[in-house]
Amino acid sequence: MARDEPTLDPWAVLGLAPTADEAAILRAYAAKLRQTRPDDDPEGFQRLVKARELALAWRKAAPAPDEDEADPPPQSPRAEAFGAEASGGAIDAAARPPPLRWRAPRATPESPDPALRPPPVGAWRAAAATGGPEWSRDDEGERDLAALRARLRALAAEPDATFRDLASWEAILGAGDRLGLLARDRLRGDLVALLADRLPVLPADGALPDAGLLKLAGRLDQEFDLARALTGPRRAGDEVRFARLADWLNAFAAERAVARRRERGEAAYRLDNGAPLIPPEDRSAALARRDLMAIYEEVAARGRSRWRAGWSAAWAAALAPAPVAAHLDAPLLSLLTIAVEIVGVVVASNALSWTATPLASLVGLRLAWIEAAAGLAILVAARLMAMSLWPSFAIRRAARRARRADRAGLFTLAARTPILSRRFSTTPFFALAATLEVWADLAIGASAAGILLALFDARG
Amino acid sequence: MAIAGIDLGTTNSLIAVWTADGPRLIANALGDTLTPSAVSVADDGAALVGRAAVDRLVTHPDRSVASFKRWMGSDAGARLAGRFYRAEELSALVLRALKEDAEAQTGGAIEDAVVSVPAYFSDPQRKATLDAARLAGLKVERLVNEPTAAALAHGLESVAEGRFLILDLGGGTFDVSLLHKFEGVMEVRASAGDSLLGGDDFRDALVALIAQRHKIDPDRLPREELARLLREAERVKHALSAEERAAYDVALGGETRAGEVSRAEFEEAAQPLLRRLRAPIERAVADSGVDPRAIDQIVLVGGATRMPMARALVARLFGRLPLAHPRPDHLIALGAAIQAGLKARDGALADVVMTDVCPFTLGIAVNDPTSPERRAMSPLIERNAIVPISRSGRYCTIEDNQASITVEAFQGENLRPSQNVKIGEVKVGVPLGPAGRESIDVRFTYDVNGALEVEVAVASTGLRERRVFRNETNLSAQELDQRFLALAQIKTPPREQAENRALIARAERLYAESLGAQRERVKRLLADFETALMDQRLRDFDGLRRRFSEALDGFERTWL
Repeated sequence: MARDEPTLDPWAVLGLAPTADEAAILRAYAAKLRQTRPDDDPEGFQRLVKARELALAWRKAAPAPDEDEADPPPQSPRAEAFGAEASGGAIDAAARPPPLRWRAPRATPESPDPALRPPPVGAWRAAAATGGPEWSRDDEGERDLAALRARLRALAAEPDATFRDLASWEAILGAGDRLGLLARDRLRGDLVALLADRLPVLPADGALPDAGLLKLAGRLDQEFDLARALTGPRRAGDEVRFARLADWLNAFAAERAVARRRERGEAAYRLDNGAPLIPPEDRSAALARRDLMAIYEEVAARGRSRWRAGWSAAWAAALAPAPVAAHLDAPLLSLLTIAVEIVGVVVASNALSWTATPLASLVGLRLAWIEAAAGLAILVAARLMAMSLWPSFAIRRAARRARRADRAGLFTLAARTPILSRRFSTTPFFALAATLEVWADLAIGASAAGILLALFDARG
Repeated sequence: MAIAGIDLGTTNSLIAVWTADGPRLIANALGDTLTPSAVSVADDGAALVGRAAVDRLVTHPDRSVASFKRWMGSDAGARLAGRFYRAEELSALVLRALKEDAEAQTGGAIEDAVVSVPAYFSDPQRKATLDAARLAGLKVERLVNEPTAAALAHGLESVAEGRFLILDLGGGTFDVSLLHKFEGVMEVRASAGDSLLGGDDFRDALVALIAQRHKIDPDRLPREELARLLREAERVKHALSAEERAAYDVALGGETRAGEVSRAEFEEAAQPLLRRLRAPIERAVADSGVDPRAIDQIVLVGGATRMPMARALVARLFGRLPLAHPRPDHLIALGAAIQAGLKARDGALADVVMTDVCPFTLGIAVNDPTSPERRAMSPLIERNAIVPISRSGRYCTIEDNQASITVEAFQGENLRPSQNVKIGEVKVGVPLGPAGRESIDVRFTYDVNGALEVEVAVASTGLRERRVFRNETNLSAQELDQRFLALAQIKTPPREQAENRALIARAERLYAESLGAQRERVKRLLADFETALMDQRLRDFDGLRRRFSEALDGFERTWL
């Protein structure tokens, strides 16, 4: 959403009367350029470039008397829905500005006067995609292309099972090498539109998407460089669909990179000539305890940002051991803590049953008091245990995972954090641990309070 | 004092200077203008650069290294004779050798240089190049994009005006640029490239083909044997450019593996690489907004464009034959020298103005709740915008009571920031308030030297934060000084010895490559040569070298 520069009059900057003659504009630009070289006067140069851009855009938009049917309308290649054929003429007439009125375009978003805005970069590509007569005259492999586009349209109507089968794409995939530049562009436009419609949203939890579709998107990308079409100009409504396709392509690229590394195993750490890409020292350093601690501290801090930042993972583990341990990928520790706390609850609630008897003697109350204190002590012990044990639990687990990844050739510096910090925070386990712990806290707190009340009662 | 133009290539490096009659290439001590980008540490600790180091790749793989340009900007490096060298240091040794060659030829000190980098080099890679030059004792006046340099050289050579598409497939990188020459203005309309695609990859495809045929795992081979296999594959690759079939034989694991590769088989194996060639071409043409049929010339540059399949691909894409440049290896260095001349405001270039583009998109990461990653790129400077350029955008807070906004600058074309290269970040504090009330203006300014300035202004308070990225270094100043001193202690052998060293390295390589009786004859020749060099009475060193070199030629398998 880059905002444009303030208004400027291109003709004044170029020192030229408004003209549709491209050569004259370039000549004026070249002459002015010698006075405002990019090295000497960056601001003046930028103004000059902008002025030329506007002048040329105006030339394109205005009907040039000395040229035949000039340029294609500034329309995105994705403007037409997939499969619909071009209807260039009508748009042409609508997009053409009144020839005699010129004012410098106010390029703020509120005044989108389409006639006065420069056509998007790559407008010729738009023309290629709409298939206007201007571009189809001598394009190589024109008949070939028509057959391929027909095949694509047929595929669009196919059910999912046929659609994701690579065999049904053979004709299109095989054509990538034969087509010329313009023909490839047109086919790519169709492909992107089709895929953007057909591909589902990627699962957000990072789970593996449908393998067949992933392979299909990847193969098509290899052959037609779909990613390029995604970075070109587009309409506002396209954003979401294209973002979806971009995620698919990224998923494929990641998958392929992982597969390649897996295939090579530890050799992936070296270049072909044997030179280390990641020296072994670096890899072992990444497994050092201090490093892992730092990563876990960071993970813990991120998980707690809702209530308070700046607490170390150890203190957080003392405050809420089970959920924090679950959060830090130490489910065993989490289970152990919960088990010990349940013992505490059982012991403490037994004390509560003592106080409940109305005829409890002083001896009985003392027993109850001891039992409630024992429950509390177990609760505190569980927390201290969690606090001191979490590093060894979480870190041992992470180290194991890192070693496994290391053997598979997957341990790169970029992948380090994801490998080490797999979290369970979104799983039901995390929620269960948190709930159980809250209940344990409440139960033990209630029994301690009950004892106190009973004691006051006995005094009174 | 002259500014030199340097093409620091993956396979070969060149140096040229701007003279009164235009750019002039400078030959090294061996009389070649191409100095292979290879470094080898000799037994006496001296660093050999160039042809000698290439030969020693086969005989002393643990002391020699090549193709290190690919590691620039990463922590990768090579351990040679017990010492770890970063890619910057290896490149610095090459730059130093080039600098010495140029100083010996021009007779003056050379301290400033224009160095070329692939257009798609990311920020850390560019910084690494600057570091390398600094380590070599050179001050970099400007980093010029390789396709721009090639376009500049071609544009100045050709008399005609018009639109030229220049495709440069080098040893390790592929670059495309579209040049529009009009009224003495050389305007780069678009450039694109793949900084990890070059002739080396085609060679590796051939290695994989041969390895698969003989059921060898190249990863498991000892380094000596791998080096031999790579060299043989390189030779076969060159031969296949001229002939339909080429034979190979290479001694691996005690036995000789021999066979024949046809051009069709090679092209089949290289198919995935050919596919990757298409993307930058299409991107550059589309970005330039020039109708492909309105391109006046398609020019092929770079050694690897000698491969017929590369030419055929271009011919298919454009429906016509491309023009093969007569000096495909020299163009970038010449372009860098022209850039140096422009920089020095040379009189002969007074009328020439060159404008370049920023070859990649620069933007910031913004919140995107619809994606798994939760973030998306918001481009500020779109790729192939004419530099210098300045653009700004307005962004707002996304959470209630957000205390600060971190602006993360990224370079790259992917919608997802994680797939792009992060350049840096700027953090500003904003007044608390509901989400969306506070906003900031982010301005990106990209100058001709490739420095990115990020300015963030808070709309309500007027608070400003400014940061300039680049023209700094990856290494700390202290580390740089340390490495500079360490490198200064590594001697390069005197120039007059360079030729002898290269010949000895070549003979050693031939010894390692051959077997049986041939091997013995190489050994004897080498011994004779070394004894003759020791001889105090000898005067005719040139004749001796020539005779030795000619004798060695008999054992050499032809390259092309």
